[in-house]
Amino acid sequence: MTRFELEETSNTPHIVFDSEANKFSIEGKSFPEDSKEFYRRVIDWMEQYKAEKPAAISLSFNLFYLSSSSIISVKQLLLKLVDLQNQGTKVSVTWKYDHDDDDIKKTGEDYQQLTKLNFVYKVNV
Amino acid sequence: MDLKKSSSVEHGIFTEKVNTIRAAYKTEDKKIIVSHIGELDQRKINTLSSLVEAQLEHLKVSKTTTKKIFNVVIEVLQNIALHGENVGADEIPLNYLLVARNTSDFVVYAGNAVPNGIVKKLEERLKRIQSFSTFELKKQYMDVLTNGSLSEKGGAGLGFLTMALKAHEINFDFINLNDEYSLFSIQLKVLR
Repeated sequence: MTRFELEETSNTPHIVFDSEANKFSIEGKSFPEDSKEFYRRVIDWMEQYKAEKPAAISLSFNLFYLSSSSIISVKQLLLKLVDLQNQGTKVSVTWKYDHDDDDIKKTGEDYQQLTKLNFVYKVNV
Repeated sequence: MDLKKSSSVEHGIFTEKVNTIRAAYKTEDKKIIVSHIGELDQRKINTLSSLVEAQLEHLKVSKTTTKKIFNVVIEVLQNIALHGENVGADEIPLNYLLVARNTSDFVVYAGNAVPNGIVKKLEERLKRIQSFSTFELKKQYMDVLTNGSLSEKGGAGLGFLTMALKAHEINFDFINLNDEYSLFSIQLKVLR
């Protein structure tokens, strides 16, 4: 699939979806003015990727901040990964957080509880 | 009806509310550290949130507390940007944000005009939120996270819950502006 990248801005994260390089990552701050609009392209890409039936995907998150509306959008993105898993793709999510950031860690745990996806937690050094 | 006069009546009520808040913060250990009145777009939200972060860093506030305050500020500002109404013939955006520091806590004051028709519902919702224990708030939060989706306006129903979870105390009030609108004010206290 075509490589997808969104540059980081003051209120949206850096997003890279590269199936050839096997790099899928979302990093930075997420408080877009319109979460639905911002994440639409991101979710659509993942929806289209389902058709390729990839063997495996590992999506890495390193978010400093998530507004309440983008929390819902990221959930919707993770549900696409659940679809992939249901199709037979081996899915894992790497959830990175700063050592003193309980909030972000907890958000990851909430997502894990909700989606039952395989979450690997990594503390940023 | 003299429309020009009527919009200055609302503006007078609004200004009085903001001045009342400011009046409490005039000493060395009680100060307003960030203040904004009027139009709010995403660019403004970015600027204000950066300013809050910078001020808190300057005050050597812990990262955890800074994150909580930042969180609360973003939520109130995005709420205003999404739901705030322009009032009167001049279409004045009666919005305000004041972030205040006290010796042992920070208080985020925010306000925006809302249609009178939603005041009762909003009041009930916030009273319910005020009455929830942390456990109940978290449960509500997980409920909305699990079942929620984004509305047309982009709201998620998580905003107030998020604010209530980050803040140690939440208070609010409504002041009638005219036949159509009231000024909704919220105060969120975050302990240092």
